[in-house]
Amino acid sequence: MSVNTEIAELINKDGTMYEWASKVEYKRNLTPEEKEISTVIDAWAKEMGEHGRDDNHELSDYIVKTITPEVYDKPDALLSTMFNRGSIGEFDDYIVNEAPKNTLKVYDAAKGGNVPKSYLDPKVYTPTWKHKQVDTEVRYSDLRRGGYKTVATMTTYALESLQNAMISDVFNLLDSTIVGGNQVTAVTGASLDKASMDKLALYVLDQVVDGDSPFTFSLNKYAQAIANMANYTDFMSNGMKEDFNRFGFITHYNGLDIAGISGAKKTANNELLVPDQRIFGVAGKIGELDMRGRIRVYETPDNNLEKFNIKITGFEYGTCITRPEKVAKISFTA
Amino acid sequence: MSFRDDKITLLNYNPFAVHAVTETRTYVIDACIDENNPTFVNVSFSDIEYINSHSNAFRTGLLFFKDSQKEEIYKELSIFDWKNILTNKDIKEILLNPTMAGLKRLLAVKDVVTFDRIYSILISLQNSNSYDISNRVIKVIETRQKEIRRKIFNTEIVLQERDTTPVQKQEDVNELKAQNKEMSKKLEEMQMMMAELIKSQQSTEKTSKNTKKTTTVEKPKKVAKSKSAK
Repeated sequence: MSVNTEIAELINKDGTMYEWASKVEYKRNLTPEEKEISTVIDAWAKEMGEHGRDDNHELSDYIVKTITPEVYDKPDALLSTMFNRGSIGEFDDYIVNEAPKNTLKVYDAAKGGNVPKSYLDPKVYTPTWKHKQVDTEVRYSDLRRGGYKTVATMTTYALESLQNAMISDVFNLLDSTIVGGNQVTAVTGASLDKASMDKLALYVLDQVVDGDSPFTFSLNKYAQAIANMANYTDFMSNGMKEDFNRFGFITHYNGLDIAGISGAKKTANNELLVPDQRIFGVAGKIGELDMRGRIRVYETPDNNLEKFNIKITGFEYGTCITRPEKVAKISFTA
Repeated sequence: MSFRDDKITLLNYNPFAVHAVTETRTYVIDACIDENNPTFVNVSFSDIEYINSHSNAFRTGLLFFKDSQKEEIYKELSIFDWKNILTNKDIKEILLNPTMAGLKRLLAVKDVVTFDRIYSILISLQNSNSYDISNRVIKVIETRQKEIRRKIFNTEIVLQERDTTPVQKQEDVNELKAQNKEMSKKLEEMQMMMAELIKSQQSTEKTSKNTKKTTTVEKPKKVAKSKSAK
């Protein structure tokens, strides 16, 4: 009994459990308090593995309470710069009223007469909803053997898979939306050149409005290549060169921040998070990305096969790109 | 070869700009607005070789050469199946008038560059609102795009012929119309002939009636004058 009350206390502390789980998973140093958490979780897990029951569904409860704050309260930095984040109830929906462009025409007029009418045309957008789910299982023998480590691994991986799937979806949607005209530049080969970057930067800067912070993002290999463009070092100030030596990238190019995403990080089905052979330039916020409902975890013990069936569902998000003209891309044709 | 010394023209039929990067400089070829008038730039042959070795721009049909030069150049670059390269016109034709063979050709595309071209042409046709693209074609292309993102380069999409009754084709309809015309002409002719026949029959009847009249003998008038004389 005492084990259970301690678990309940720990679970209710915001953020502690996920912090503990990712430290265990990535083999970082634990604080003394966190080591205590490990012992308690270990005892709890082994008890579940021994008896094959989890009457209070504490395992699913634990997963929900650990992942939920990470998903809903600590949104991804990159997505937050590009989209307005929010959340709505599970059975709700929303439409976006985009502010109309200023199409009111002004005419020279004599006093007391009328001029032709011109109109404002507001647009309404509806979001595209996607629902992701993870089905997995935890064997009793794993709980007895690994104890706290099994629990930590599963939590961290579940959260990462869900978030990576969302990031990959959003960027693929962006890639499919920007297909032609002034917003796309095709570059032959795989090496970046100044003319293409200048064109990207010019387009993005033209689209910036008050309050936007424009930036480029791509895989790290292209972010690094920006600094290595032929003759570009001639244009870098001392400050920029220091940044380059410290961080490996230059931080700005022509007024745009440079963001890079790891090329080694992949989703569970082996896709890269950001499409390969692309550099995107974004002039600030381009739309809405909202979460719908809450994550739910269902656990079913299976005593014959000696495992818990875990179903993590309810991870639902809707994207609505309302200003696609604020994005430009360079695509390489290696 | 004469073209090794001459400048070679690179044509861009795409609705986006292409930057051709070479050892010394970048050639900027702007987007093409009218598909019959591509934008172009003149480059030297060594630049062409550089671009060909560093990218598959020529193999996949991102950039084209002028008709008068292309056969020789493709041979020099060892691109032997240059006749099968998908042009933007081919892609547009297949999307607007889909056939099994055409769609299979689009699905067989394995590289991201060409498939991006196909997808961008599809989106521009949809956005122009002046063409009617079949929903099935859109679905096939979008499914293939998801496959390519997952690096599934050999498509697993299977296209099946539908067992629908074919819509009346315009040529069939025209043929039927022509047949109808002929038949109605013949019918008219026959009607005329019949009419003439009837007329001729009627006229013989009429003439026979006349002869009957002539055979009627006029009654002789009585001569009464001789009696009243003297």
